[in-house]
Amino acid sequence: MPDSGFDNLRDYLLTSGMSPRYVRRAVAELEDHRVDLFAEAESLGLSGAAAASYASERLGDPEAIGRCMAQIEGHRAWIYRYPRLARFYLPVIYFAAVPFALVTADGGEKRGFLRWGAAMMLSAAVTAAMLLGMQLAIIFG
Amino acid sequence: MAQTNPPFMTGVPELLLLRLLEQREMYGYELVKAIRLVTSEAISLGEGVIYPALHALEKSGALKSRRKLVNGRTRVYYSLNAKGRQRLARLQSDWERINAGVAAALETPANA
Repeated sequence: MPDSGFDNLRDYLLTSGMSPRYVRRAVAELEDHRVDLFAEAESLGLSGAAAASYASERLGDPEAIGRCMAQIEGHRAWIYRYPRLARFYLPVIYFAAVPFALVTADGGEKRGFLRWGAAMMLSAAVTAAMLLGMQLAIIFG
Repeated sequence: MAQTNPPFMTGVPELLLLRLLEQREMYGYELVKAIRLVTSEAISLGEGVIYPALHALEKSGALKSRRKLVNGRTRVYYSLNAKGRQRLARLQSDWERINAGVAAALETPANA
């Protein structure tokens, strides 16, 4: 069967913030439905392009289906459902908890923990600064 | 064939899906065929439209789904649960009230 637009649908749903698990399931269901429609078309005497066209027409516009699917809030990836948690609280907790854990860590490995922790925090800070710069470039660019 | 998804159809797919799934579990293609059959093809949905409706109903807790291997293909079967039955009863009651109201209005002479 020729391409049915599901690749575009998959991309659209993922960029709309739907969870990858949901996207896989939704696209698989639509593909399965299309196979049934194709078989139905063949049973009606159509073949090849005509059967594919029949199946696509009956299934409807993948973009319209995607727009409906993208409105199901509960199927969004958690990072989109809880943006404050993902973009603010968790990083803050991370930056607060890591030094606390390192300072309170006991035993002879304390110095190693501190070096490792400092390196991790430095790399996280550099990454965060780069992401902030990109975000600002998108907003003000 | 009837026009697919006219504007006043909002809520109708949900009602039909719940009603059909009250009887037995079904998968998407089977549901579309059942809708065409029970409505004598008066209601012909754009078939892809039922999936967002099914997924939203499932997420709201009205439906549950399970994967089933049939002839080497994995199908997602949907069935109604207790919350779905309550929702169906409410939607059915709303529909009957609105239907009665519209029917009464259509029977009233235009110059009344």
